[in-house]
Amino acid sequence: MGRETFSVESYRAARREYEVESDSGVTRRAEQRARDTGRLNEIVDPGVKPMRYSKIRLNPHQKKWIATVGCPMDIEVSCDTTGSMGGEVDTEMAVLPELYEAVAKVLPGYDPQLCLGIFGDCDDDFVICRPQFEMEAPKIVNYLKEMAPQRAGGDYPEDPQYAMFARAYLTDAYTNHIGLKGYHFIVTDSICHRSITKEQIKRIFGKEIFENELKNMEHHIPNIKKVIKDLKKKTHQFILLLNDIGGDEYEDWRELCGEDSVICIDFTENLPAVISTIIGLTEGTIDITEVKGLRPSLIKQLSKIKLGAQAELRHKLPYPVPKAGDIFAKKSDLWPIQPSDCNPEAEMLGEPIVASEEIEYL
Amino acid sequence: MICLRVRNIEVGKLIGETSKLRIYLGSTDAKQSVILKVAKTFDDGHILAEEASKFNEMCAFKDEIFKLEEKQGKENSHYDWLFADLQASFMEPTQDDRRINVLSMPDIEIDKLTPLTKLSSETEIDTWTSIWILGRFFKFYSFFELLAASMDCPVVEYPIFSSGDYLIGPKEHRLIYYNFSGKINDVMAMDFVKAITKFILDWVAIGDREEEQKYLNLLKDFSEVGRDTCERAHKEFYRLVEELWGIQYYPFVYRERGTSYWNVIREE
Repeated sequence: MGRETFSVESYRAARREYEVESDSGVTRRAEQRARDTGRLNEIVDPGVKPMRYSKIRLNPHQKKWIATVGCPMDIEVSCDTTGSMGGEVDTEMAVLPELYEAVAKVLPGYDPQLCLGIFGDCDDDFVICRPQFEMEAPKIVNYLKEMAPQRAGGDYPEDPQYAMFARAYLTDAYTNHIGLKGYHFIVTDSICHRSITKEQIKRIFGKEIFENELKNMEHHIPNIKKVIKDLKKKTHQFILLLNDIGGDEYEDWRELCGEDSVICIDFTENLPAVISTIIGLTEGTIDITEVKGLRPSLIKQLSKIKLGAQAELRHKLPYPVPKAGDIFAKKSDLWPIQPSDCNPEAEMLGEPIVASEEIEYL
Repeated sequence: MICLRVRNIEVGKLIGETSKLRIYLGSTDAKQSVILKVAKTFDDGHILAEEASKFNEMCAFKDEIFKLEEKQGKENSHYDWLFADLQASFMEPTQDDRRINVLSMPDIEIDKLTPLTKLSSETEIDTWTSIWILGRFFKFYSFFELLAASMDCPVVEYPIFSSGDYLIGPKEHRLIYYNFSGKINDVMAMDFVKAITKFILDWVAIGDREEEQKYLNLLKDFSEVGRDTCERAHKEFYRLVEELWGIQYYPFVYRERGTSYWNVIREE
């Protein structure tokens, strides 16, 4: 599966290659094509092969398999593109290198895999666009340019619940298999419709979805609370709300997802800083007091999220999180071969010594 | 020597430990010397999280004072020289998610510092060396009184006094607090003034001259009665020192315990 990761050079080259060098109108051609054909490009169409995958990258190695990058970390961002937020794909495209760099920094040893999608309203021709999880610039640039934001929104509220539904039930992530969680962000300025219907699921994810991926769900469509509950089992889930604390939108999301999941932001250009800070705090790789460059009231909001929640999950894993260079016996194995001929403590800082509460200097 | 890397830091010698953490020397890729504190277990990490929070609070307040002094055209009080700079605090996935705090020392190389407890257990200092050390302690503890006042808080959050929490640079006259081993909320500084002065009295060898005896009497009074604030003790202390000898530079003068030969370390 290769070992390429995101780089600014490959990002720039990809934008040149795909002729999306302008800062605006990134999706203009895809939108036109969607209008003409009535279909999305299949790389962003949730109705074509609806499952999304985030897998560990393994290469053949002496009749076994070697992890080339590290443990994948699935990060899904679904952005509202209704009304005034219609140009958010342009923003996503513009901040992409900063976003990747920022999340990679707080995820040392991991392979960040990004699924940057959009959502609109059920009144729109296309409710969501959802690409695969990708980690290389050309693929991400390619899928971003193929989005077809509807820029309308029909009625108010909007319909991000189907994006949450997709992550909860139509995603196969390595993190979940080993006992970790990925990340899921909804970016919106609106409240959320609460209805989830069989008809809309079929419309968005394909007519045969209940015969295949969701065959056990046909007669038991989960309500939105159940969807969010299941989403939270699989991801550290956040709503990034472009509205003020205490407003109707905030109260609506807070009631649905819990206070520690709703963060009010000023503008989407600082998404890289906000998302990477949330991930860093959840992973435990940064401390709230280390957070710089965000306004104090935002830092205060961030201090209420579950700090170190991923670290607690990591701590409960039966083995260390796989890293680059780990050897897997079979490609389908969940865990790499564990070193049995060496002391796993050998690489750890410190041998067990009994000591007092006060520092004993050596 | 442990050859291990954490982030951009090469981990070096283990220099100390408590029941909950270990302390290592380290060097960043930019060749900056740092101290790493590594929690012994995942659960022990909360101690370092609390330390990180405390150091950041201190750092933010120190910056505020600096800005205010700069604005008012006042001389820098250099509270930054009194405690370590917290560079980072994180849970390290390669170390079972144990928390690590990374500290650097402001304006001094770590190899010029030694643990205060080590030095005080092995040596005695002369009267004039004790002056700047006790002065630094009072100044450091006064800092927390200022911090509480800045927040209109009637109760001061003092760090527990433990000499093991400090490093000392004899040549540069530096006393640096670098380990948070707990705090006590108190309205009065009595116990801290007593404890700090007792520590100095156990370390200093005060001569028989009249001025030195006056100095000794003040220290005894501090150790027996205390003062209601460290700031008050600080001012009273320097008032007497100025009266007796004037405020001036003294080198670090010490002798090994049980010997009579005095050694002098001067600033270059």
